[in-house]
Amino acid sequence: MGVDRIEVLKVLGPEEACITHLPPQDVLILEDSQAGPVLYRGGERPLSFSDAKDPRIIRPGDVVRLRPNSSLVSVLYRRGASANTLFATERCNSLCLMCSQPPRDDDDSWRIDEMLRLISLIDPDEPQLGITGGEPTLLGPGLARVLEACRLYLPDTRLQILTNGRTFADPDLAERLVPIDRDGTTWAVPLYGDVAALHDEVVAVDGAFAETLDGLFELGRLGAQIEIRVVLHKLTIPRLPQIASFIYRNLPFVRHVALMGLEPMGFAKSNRERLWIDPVDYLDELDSAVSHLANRGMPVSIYNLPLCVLPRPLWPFARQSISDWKNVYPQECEGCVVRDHCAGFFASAGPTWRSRAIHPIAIEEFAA
Amino acid sequence: MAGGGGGSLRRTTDLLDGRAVVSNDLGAFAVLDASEQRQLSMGDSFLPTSRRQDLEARRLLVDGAQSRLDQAIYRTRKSFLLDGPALHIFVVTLRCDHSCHYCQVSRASLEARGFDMSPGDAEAALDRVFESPSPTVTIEFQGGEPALRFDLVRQVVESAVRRNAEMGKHLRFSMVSTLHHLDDEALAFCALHGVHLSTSIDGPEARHNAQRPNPTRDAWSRTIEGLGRARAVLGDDGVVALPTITRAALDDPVGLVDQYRQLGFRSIFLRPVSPYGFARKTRRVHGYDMADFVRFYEAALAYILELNAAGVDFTEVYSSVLLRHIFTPFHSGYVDLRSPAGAGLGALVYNYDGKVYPSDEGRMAAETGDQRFALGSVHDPLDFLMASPAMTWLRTGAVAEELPGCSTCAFVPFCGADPVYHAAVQGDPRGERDTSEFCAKHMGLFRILFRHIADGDRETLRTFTAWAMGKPRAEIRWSGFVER
Amino acid sequence: MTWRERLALLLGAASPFAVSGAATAEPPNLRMQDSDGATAPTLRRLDFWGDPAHAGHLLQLAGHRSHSSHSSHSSHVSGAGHSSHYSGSSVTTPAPLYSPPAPYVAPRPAKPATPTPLYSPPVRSAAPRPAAPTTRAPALQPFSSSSSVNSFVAPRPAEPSRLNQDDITKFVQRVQIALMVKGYDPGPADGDLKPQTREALRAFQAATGLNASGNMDMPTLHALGVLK
Repeated sequence: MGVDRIEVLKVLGPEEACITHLPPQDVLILEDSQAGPVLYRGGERPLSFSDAKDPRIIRPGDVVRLRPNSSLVSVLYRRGASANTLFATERCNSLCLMCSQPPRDDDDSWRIDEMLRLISLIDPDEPQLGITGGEPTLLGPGLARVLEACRLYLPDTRLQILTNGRTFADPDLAERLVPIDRDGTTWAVPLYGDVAALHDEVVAVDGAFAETLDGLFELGRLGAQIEIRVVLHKLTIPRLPQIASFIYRNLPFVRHVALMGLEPMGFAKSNRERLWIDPVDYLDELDSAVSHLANRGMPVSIYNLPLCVLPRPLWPFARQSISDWKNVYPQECEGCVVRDHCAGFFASAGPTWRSRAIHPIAIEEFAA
Repeated sequence: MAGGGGGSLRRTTDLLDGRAVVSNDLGAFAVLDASEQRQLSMGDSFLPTSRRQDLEARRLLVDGAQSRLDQAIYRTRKSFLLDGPALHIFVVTLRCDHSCHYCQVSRASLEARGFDMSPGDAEAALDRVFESPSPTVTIEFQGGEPALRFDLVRQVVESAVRRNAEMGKHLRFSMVSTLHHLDDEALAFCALHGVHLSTSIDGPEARHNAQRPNPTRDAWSRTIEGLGRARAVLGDDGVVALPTITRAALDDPVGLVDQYRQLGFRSIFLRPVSPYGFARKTRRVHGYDMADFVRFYEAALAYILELNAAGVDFTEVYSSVLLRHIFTPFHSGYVDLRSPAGAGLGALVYNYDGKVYPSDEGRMAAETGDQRFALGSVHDPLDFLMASPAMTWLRTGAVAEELPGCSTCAFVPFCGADPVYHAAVQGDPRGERDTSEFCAKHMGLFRILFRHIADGDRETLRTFTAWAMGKPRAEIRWSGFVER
Repeated sequence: MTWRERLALLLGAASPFAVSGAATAEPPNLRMQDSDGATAPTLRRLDFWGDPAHAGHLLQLAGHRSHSSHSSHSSHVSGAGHSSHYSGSSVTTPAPLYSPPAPYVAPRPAKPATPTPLYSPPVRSAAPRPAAPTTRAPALQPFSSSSSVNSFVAPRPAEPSRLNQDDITKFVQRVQIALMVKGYDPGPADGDLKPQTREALRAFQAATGLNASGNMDMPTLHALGVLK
């Protein structure tokens, strides 16, 4: 592809390339030519796009990773995407039954350096950035460096960090990480039950529940902004209202609760039998839990579920939460009048992962 | 158990209908029916799985070590302690033109001298107010009839606002008044500074006039007239009212509630007649057993719940206080029901004579000669008042979790201690539960509420949730889960 | 003597609050010291939690630091009237410790979702822009050419003079549907900008911190998500 080592570079159109503060060696200029779009560094030969990849896949504002001897261009950051995420590590200390990114135990600390590089190339007006993994806190001091880089380069960018919270049982870790950008960071922590047996079963680690609660205490104590996430499946649905009550009574400092439709990726696929339940069959529990929290002034949202499956009173809580790059609206959605407001579906959701209640909503349903 | 970290000590109290409430210091609770109680006594594995999980999640299965979160929840329930005195009552005059039969205040006649607060004492009392650590303070004017010295009310309000410019507290003002002596100028002042008004309305005109005689025998009509004028300036909710329930009122709970609705009120605060002041002397006529009051209350509440189910937003305020304590880990702010008690620690009364008392009831006792409750003078710094012998004495009965009877009661996390009441009526701040009307009332009311909670009627739970959260009923989604 | 010390002296073990430690001290008055990033902020550790119903701040997406650095959400909010005679509007109506900030208005026409239940609530926090829930974004991001990235570019609205009645009706219909999705009741979605629809618009605008004009102005249309 024209590079002799791994390069992480910023793609800019020619006009922007002229005025950017980034040094030329960090920039790939994307320009139209008669032969189609070309990428090149200032003053150098254009990089060849001769292999199959569609050059339209690259856009100005992207940050891309190029590898030597490969035509693969990885887009690590896309300007304007609904969800840009830093991938911190593949390692994890839990093994959730529905994990969409099954962990690997390799030493991938090289990702820290890549993240630091990437952060320096992200648009400073990027509203929000996710950090995920694996379990990001396993990076230890590496994560602190990443958060400090974000604060330095992207002071106006909100961070949302996915973590199981267990390592925060150690108050020192919380004190190291939380104050870096306390008010600009949200820690999103999953909870799968109001008793240890249920949570630990889903997470497949004994003692995880107690550790997570201790971690939540340490985070809350420092005034961190915390979101609790509950993935909706057969093991969490039966006590969903009780989980909502548990959150209000024990974790009232949490800022937001997200109840999330199941993503059929990773471990979820092989655990389908244990996990899958058609959303239309858990609407009572969902309503009960959402209403419990809403009544008590706790912000709550429903993620990843389409409007046609949800009863109307729950529509105000539904969010368009699926990242655009994996968000699809299948054939059935043709002609639906609320499609523009609907979360739609995961691209990975085949027929065995779709509710039987999916149907396009016709205008007549609002006529009365 | 009261303790630095709080406990998950489990307590059980019977609901007298086969069911029982089990709770712990964190305020978690469950209502167990007879078979669940039997199963639990045999061992928790005998309970159905989901019920056992309920109890486990709420830390009701065992007295155990508390997690860090548990200790934080306990501190949250008791966080009102850190505010210090948040309610500051200014008794600007003891003079009043009424001679209510049950008057707790031992008022003085209109022409009497020496029963008014001096401006210097009023300013000194404000010094105490601003020594309070609370970010929010309520200054409440009482009497006698405080409107008779509206000049003092004005002085205190304006001075408070001026001094607050540097202090940055959130100030609230309120006044207890018959409404007879508030002219338009006074009402305009109240509107300007957000002074909330509270008045007594005892029911139908005849009863009200009979129990609350004024010289012209027209207490009712003048109060209603004052109500109209006040609402015109302060808005419909600018005035609240409460009845004093005397024996005569016990027969007609529905009538009393309807009377309040007819007058345009959207809430009522049902409180039994108090043992203080003159009330003791007229107790033979107006008094009753607390059991009678509890029966009356149950009927009134049932009617109010019916109204709510039919779409009428009407609140019983005392239930809303209790329900806030039951349904949330947060206190209601009602200083008269908390443990450690609000006497002195949560409220201070600055009497017309410059003395400071720990509660309204304390100064009422003083009017009938019982001086044990005085903390000191308005010119004494707050810290001095808190270190007074009276405070030390009252403290012995200020912590419900330490008191015999309370320490084993499942309602204790939602209830409170009242060392002033018990000292005044029973002679000792700790009191005796068996003969305590404070206890009888609260046990009665808690039983009523928990029975409703366990019965699980959707409409009732929706109303209860609205009251606990301080929201209009229409904003409460009926489908919301309620624990029981 | 500090108030905590006084409590400890008077109540002994019945006060669950530690006496010592600068880290646990809460400033007694409401003057907010702006914690600017210039000097290291003192680490504040909270003793107890506040009522989420009083949090009142928006989960802000970007821009200015919200004053929630001293949020009442974490510090105590001591409920209401502090009264014994029950004066005041309601014992359980809390007195907020501070005034909520002006609601954040997204600089781009992103999709700010407001958790407004069916019954018009008071102004409350808006949900964060949802990030990918359990997403682990793999290094490769296969963008299809039909990617909806362009939804972030504000479309030029059609000039009014070129819209025929039918277009207008359809557009109003879309607005009505959007209001319904958000939990408001504009009446039947018939494309008629009737009083009930205007009321619903006003309610939505008020809850979202927009100017409650009842008009279909640009910020309102963006917030409703009808401009694609």
